[in-house]
Amino acid sequence: MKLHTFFSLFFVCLSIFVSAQETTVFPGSYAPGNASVAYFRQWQPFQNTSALALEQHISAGLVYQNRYFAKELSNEIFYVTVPTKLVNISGSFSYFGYDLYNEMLSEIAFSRAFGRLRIGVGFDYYSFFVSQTDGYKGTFTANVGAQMDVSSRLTIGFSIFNPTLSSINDSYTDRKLPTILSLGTNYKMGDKIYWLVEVEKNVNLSMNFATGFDYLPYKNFALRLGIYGSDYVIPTIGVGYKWSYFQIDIHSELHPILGTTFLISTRYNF
Amino acid sequence: MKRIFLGILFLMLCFCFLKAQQEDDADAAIENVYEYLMEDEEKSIDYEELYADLIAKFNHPINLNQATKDELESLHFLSDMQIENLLYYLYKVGKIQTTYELQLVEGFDNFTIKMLLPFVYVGTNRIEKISFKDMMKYGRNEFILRFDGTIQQREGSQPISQELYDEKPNSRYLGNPYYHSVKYRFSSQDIVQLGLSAEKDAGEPILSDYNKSLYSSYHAYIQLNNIKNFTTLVAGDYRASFGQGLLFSQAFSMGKSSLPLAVNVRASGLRRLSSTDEFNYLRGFGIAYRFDKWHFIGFYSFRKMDGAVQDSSFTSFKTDGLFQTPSDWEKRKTIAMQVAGVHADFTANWVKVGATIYGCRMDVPMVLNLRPYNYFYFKGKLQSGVSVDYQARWRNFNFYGETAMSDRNALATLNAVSFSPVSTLSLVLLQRYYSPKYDLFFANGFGENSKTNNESGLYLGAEIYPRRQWKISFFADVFKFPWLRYGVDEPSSGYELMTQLDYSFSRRVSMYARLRYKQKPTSKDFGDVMSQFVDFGKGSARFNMNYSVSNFNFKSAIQANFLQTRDSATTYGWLLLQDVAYNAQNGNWAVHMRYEIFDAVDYDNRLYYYENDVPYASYIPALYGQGLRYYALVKYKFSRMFSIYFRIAKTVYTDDREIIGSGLERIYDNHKTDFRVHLQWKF
Repeated sequence: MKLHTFFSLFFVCLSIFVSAQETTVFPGSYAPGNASVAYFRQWQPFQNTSALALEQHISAGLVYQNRYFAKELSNEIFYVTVPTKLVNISGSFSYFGYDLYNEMLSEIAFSRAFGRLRIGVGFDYYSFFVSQTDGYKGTFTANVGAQMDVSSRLTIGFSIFNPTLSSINDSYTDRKLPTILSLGTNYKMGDKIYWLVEVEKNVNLSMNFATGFDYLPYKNFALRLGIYGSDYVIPTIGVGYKWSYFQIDIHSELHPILGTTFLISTRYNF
Repeated sequence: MKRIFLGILFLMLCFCFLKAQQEDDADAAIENVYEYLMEDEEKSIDYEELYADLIAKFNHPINLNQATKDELESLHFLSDMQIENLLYYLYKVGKIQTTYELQLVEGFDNFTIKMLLPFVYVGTNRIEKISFKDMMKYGRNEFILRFDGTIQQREGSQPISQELYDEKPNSRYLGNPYYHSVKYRFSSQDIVQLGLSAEKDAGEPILSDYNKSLYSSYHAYIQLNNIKNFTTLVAGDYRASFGQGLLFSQAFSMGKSSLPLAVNVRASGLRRLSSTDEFNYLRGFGIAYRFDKWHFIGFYSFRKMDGAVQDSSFTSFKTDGLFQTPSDWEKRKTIAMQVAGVHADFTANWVKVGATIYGCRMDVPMVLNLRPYNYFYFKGKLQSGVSVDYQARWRNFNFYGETAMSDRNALATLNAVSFSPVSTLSLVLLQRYYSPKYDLFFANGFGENSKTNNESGLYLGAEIYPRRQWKISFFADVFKFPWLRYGVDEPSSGYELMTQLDYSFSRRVSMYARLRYKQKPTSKDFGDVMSQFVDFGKGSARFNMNYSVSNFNFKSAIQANFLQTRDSATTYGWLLLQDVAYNAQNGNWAVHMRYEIFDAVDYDNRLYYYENDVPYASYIPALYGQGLRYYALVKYKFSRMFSIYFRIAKTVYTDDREIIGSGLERIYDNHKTDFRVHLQWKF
């Protein structure tokens, strides 16, 4: 029964969040409403690569995301960032699934600021476990993005994941990586609130809308509220806290049918 | 001495730099105008002519202190009220000292001024008479070569066996699948304009039994302006427009757009053909003569039109200008048409009254396959018409209109008034009635129908300027079709609404949101004895944001539409796009890139968004299905005189289709890649 429930949930999840034959390895973000494309306060792995340009410390982090309390629907992500004089560099690795079915995504990203413009490029390798006999199959793709501070209060961002429509095709496999174009704004309201708005289009799915507020009542503490969705409206809530070199962010969202998604991100700045 | 030499060198370099920057500014200024004119739906607008008009005004800006109505009208984006207000302001103050004064002219908002500035300047001295020698010396020559192609092989170019080809000779192109054109233009101080152009469309034969020449269509013109009392002398290929276009108009007209006050026909009179259009032009000569307050225009044209002539008659003109197969070639230049007309107008103070007579004769009669909807359409060899047009200003009110009568006693009338009750609001109210019997070849009045007939309607347009950085544009158009239309088997009616909100966040950031809805009935065949009449509603929304950071310019946009009929489910279309453009500091090169994702499963939800292109070209693809599209346009200047543009665009469908297009254009693939090369030599 438990197995039956798990598989039902697994396939419903696949059909709603990503169309059939598309990957689920793409991890979420702790930005309010998942509106991360213009979010610049902290770079997050596999999100808009251009935010990496603002990184000032060597850092390492772990992210764990779980969908609907099914441990098989979990992402584990590890990343490091290395700022240099010429360009900031990051390396990220994401693992989704369990022994019999899993997907992996690795990315090396480079980003640099040109005044008020930040540009980032990520080189990604995606692979998934086909079967015990066939092992893994994979493909290369890219993740490009930019953020512009068009005024002291308004930042505009965009990113494209998999612009080249990379996919894995052979006689037995037809696995499409999602091609996603995201556009968004980040507007600073007063000194403590950032308002994020984003639209996102996966080439094979409905348009996704997101908005949220990043509220910083204290210097080291952030409270995040947002919503996103297309067919369903999904509310999100999150908090973030920073102790000296260590930072933790917790994010949760509620799908009206499938339930709760939970994300915890930890990070250490060296 | 060395210092002087270095100083001169520095000034020369500065001049080169400024000149280079200016060229880039031209593209940016024209793109800014295009933003407002491009619509969410298909429209048969000659953008080549619009580009030619705007680039001509960019190269020879209008001196505001000597601006004439005709000059200002040639910019297309100014409303008649804005033109009248500007002329009235000049009349009142005598002379404008600086372009900043434009803010004092009623109806001139920040958005209009931003569009206008690249095309005007404030000068003090009148231009002295220019000798022929100086005219040649200061003239601008432009030589353009263009080459277009598609990488994937189309059905028309696929290999075929001789036997099959003999059986179906129209199943393949006669020529190679590439487009090529060459143009030469000369202009001097807007007094002399001369042009030659030749074009070969994709699939058209050259140097063969069908076409022994190097190109398939040729145009040539010479136009002289303001030679003594002759305001215009034109010979070769040209266009003519009078009044509000009810009787005769071949000029660019905006119709319903996001500039809701600019609804009248522009650029009246005679004008050279600046595009490579193969249908909408006259070939012959025309003269315009001014005598005191009178202005007389006469023109004559003789040309061979294209159409399928069978049994010494034809049913319709061939308007696409494509001659790719033997059957196309049989329709080429089969109908001799003579057109002549006379126009006279009288201007006194703030009133202008004109009259136009026009006649057309063909050597082959037009005979229709009679259907109920085309029962009143023109048939025969001869047609003629007469019209009276007027324009008047009284206080804050501008009145204009035209009433025309065809030789079949059919009436068409259009009357409009525009006014500004307060400085923050401008309005236009336009009424039109075109009889179902009214059907003239060159009529092109404001309306919902592509033909100027069988329509009555009332249009209200408004522009509101609530604050300096904001502008609200709005129009509502209610229309009726008293007789049947193609695809609609009974008299019908509909309406269209549009509202646009423009906001200038800062000098670097501007945005607009546009909503549009149209309800228009159509007949739908449900397989019953008779087709049924259903309301067809289409709404669209667009949000567009332009912003710049240093030499980078960006555009982000989202567009959505929906389509609803009473008997079927609502369908949707979505488009999300991102533009990145970079202009090098030295002005020598520029690149413009776009990436867009579209999702419009139903063909009726197809999406349009203006794309940057090489000069004089414009391509707005209809996107439907699921997929993505991207393009890159690169411009490189070898020197001040030579430029090269290269554009490549690719559409990839992700909805598992294996065929794109239809007929001879069909491609057996899920992606299509087009390229375009444009070489420009100015001297």
